[in-house]
Amino acid sequence: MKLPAVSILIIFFLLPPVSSHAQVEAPRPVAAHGQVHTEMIRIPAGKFQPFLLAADQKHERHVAAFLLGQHAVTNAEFLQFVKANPQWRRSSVPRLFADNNYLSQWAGDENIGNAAIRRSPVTNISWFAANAYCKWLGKRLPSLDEWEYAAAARPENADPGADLSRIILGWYDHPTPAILPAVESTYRNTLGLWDMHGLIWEWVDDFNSVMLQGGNFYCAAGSAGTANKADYAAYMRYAFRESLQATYTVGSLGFRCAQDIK
Amino acid sequence: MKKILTIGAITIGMIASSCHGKQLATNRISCCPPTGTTAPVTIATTLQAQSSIYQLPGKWTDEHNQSLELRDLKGKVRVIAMIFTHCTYACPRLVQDMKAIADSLPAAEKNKVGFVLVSFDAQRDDPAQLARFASQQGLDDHWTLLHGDPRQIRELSMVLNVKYQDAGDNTYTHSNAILILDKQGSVIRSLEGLEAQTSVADNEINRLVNR
Amino acid sequence: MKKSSSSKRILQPTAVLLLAGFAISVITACNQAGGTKPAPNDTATVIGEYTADLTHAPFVPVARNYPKTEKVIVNIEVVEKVMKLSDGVTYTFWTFGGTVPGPFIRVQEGDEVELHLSNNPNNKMPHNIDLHAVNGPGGGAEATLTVPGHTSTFSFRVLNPGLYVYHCATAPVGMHIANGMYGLIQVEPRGGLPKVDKEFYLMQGEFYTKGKNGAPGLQPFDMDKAIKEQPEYVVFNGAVGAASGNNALRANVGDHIRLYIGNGGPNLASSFHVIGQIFDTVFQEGGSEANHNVATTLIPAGGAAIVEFTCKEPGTYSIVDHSIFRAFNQGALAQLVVAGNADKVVYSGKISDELYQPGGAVATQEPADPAAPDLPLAERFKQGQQLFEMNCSSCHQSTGLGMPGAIPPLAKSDFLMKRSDEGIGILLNGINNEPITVNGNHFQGVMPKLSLSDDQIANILTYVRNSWGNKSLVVQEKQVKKARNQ
Repeated sequence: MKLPAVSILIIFFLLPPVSSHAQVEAPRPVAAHGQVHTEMIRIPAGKFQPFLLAADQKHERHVAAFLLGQHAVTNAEFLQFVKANPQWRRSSVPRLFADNNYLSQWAGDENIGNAAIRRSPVTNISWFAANAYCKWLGKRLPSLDEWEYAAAARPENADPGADLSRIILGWYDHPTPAILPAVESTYRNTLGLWDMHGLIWEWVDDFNSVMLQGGNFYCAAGSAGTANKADYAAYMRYAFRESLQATYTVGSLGFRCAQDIK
Repeated sequence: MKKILTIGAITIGMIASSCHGKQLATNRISCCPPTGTTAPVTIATTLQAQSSIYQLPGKWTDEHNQSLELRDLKGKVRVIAMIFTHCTYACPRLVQDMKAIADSLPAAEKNKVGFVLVSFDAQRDDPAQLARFASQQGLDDHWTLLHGDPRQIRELSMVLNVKYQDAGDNTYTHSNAILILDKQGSVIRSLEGLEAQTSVADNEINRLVNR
Repeated sequence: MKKSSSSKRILQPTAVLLLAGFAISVITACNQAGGTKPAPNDTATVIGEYTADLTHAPFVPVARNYPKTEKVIVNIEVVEKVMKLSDGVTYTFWTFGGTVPGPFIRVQEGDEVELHLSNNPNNKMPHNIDLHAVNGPGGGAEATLTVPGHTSTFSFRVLNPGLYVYHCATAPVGMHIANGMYGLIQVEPRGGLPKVDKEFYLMQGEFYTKGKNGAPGLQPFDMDKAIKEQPEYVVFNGAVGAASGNNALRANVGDHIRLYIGNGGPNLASSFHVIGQIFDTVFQEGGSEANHNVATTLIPAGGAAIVEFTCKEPGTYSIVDHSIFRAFNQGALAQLVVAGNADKVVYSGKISDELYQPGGAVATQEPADPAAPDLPLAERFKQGQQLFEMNCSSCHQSTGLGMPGAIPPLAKSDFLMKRSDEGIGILLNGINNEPITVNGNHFQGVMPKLSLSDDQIANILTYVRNSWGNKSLVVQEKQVKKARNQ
């Protein structure tokens, strides 16, 4: 039986380290899988116009069909992961993989504390933590193109004439609520995905491919232009990605997983 | 009198020509195709002391087709950059800057420091290509060139805080940085941009070698 | 041979001079081309270090003595918060330091500034800062892009004196500025500005809300209005009424005042004016050139100005953007309340208020008196004619022409018609030998004081003042009564 590529990666990740330094130990096999079943929605292949354009890049990009989580990973789901993988506990995670604000909203290593946030998206998790969680389930983080493509679908009940960018801006105008609302509390889009905008920012696999503002940027035909100067919501998303590093944990930043279609 | 005049004219001619040479140097072509962006200013930043990047698991292959893991780089101070061999703009500069650092190390330190190049290009920069590149560039055995799969490359770019994008057509858009790691593999200094900071690097290496 | 040796004598020094000249020009050109610039004169050694005292509008940090260049540490936190924009209206502001505008930074030319920009972990957005006082890429923006829960630090040397705007420059820049992310940094010239009695900080900005001006509740940002440059609110210091009424600026008569005014925009330029004041000095655009005796000065979006004036009179002075609908309909109004003693020579206030009725004598309105009823002109005229024939015509003649040299005329008499009492005084008191001039002719004689009632005097005067070419309003009985009782 031919092993899919994803499994090979998982095996490499499982190789035990030797040195005395605290290392990321092999994640335990997906025994807890059944407890963290989030429905994966099939996203059909298609074309979309990326927001950031290189001077010589085509205006349209193709995205192959893939699976994407129906909603963001919740605190309860992430708790299952931490229980199965104690090296990802708040008190043991290496600083290389998460800064010291990691899971600060929880009461303890394996204790969420506030029952009101069990079904809220897990935030204050680094890119490494999100990456490890998805791998643990045999999945991965979505790529930037995949995420943007899926997020461009309109809300199910939106006024057909309304501009999606304006709808998104309307959500950004409201201040961050004291208690992060649960998943499936904002809107579902025409692909069947919940809360792609308006609840949290979300990690993507290659967020560090964003080179929007000047300065340290680099063979940077990539920073030459944006597709739509009136799309303020997109500017905000890309500016946010640009300000991130993989170890950062932010109270309004979470994630959902993607998966290749076999 | 004639002699004095002749010598004077020659001297002035030499000054003028060296001046012209200096002018060429300052009009360095920046990395990118002309977009009007000037070569970025170096910011020598000291990152917060992180734990070792060698905690990142994964099997890499070097230019001699040897398999290794990042933790095998322990024990020496490392100077590391991410490049791809078909890059004709920034990457040659990065390699030049690293060579300059290597050349300016005192003899006593040379064997305690290793230079590492990791390629963005999993597809074309296989070990054979890396070996060819090392040979072209005259990189001796103080240098290690690494090939990995796209997943590993992305994860390594995350711990080194290097931004990059597969720009298609076999090119990569990327930030430029030379990182200095201590013997345990923690990033101590990140020299960003394309201006050589040889003396800063030497000082840092000197400090780390003697710890 | 002789020729050659003498020409050689000329040739040699000339050649040397030419060579020397060429050498000098090559060397100086070489230095310039090679990129050795003269060092900025403000890289004097920095002595000492202090943390800047940052103030919120309308207050300005107290000027230091500025004896030397120092290192200044500036700590600013970005906070996204809901605050009042107008009565009943709130808005989600993005702020430096929790207020709009952000805090006032005051440093001296040559100082080294180390700026720590923190992004509150409860914020949604990344932010950065671009200070117009910075010489360097992005004015600091590239060095300070900060995600919520982090602090970025960078340092810069302030090389140019002046008053400068700072603002957030994270994409989309227009929205970050439109939500209130701006403030002022003042770089004092060496030694500091001359001292004044009071300094204040004002910053103008517009707000673009989905609802119209005054629509209540939490108002979202309206991108289309922002792109069209059609704000709903134009305000000083971040809200309608932020610097007026109870929040007005206060000073005393005699105070020499300096205003630091910024314009955060994002779009509109300001025609800045203080109603009732003239700016003795204006540092236009916050620069180094001083203009004097200016009433209205233009402040560009993203720019600033310093104005100075002395309060000479007490009262409440309105501070406006003289694109005047912004002041009255959109909130661009602040106030300066000046207390103290009035100087009536500089400003008298209203002296009088009189009725103005073009085409006749000015008549002061008397209130109605039922004991002395008003009668129509025709009636009094008729009565007056009879009384005149009986009492006056023997001297003044029925024609009203009098007797030349002896009895003054009444017909077209300037003496009579120009009297402010309409002649009432003459009939009440008579004339007792005082010299008068009528139509250019001199008269001196006696006119007896007749015993006539108020009503009768009113009738006679009405008749006389409307006969023989004379024309006037009716004289009423109550006017005579009033004059008699004075």
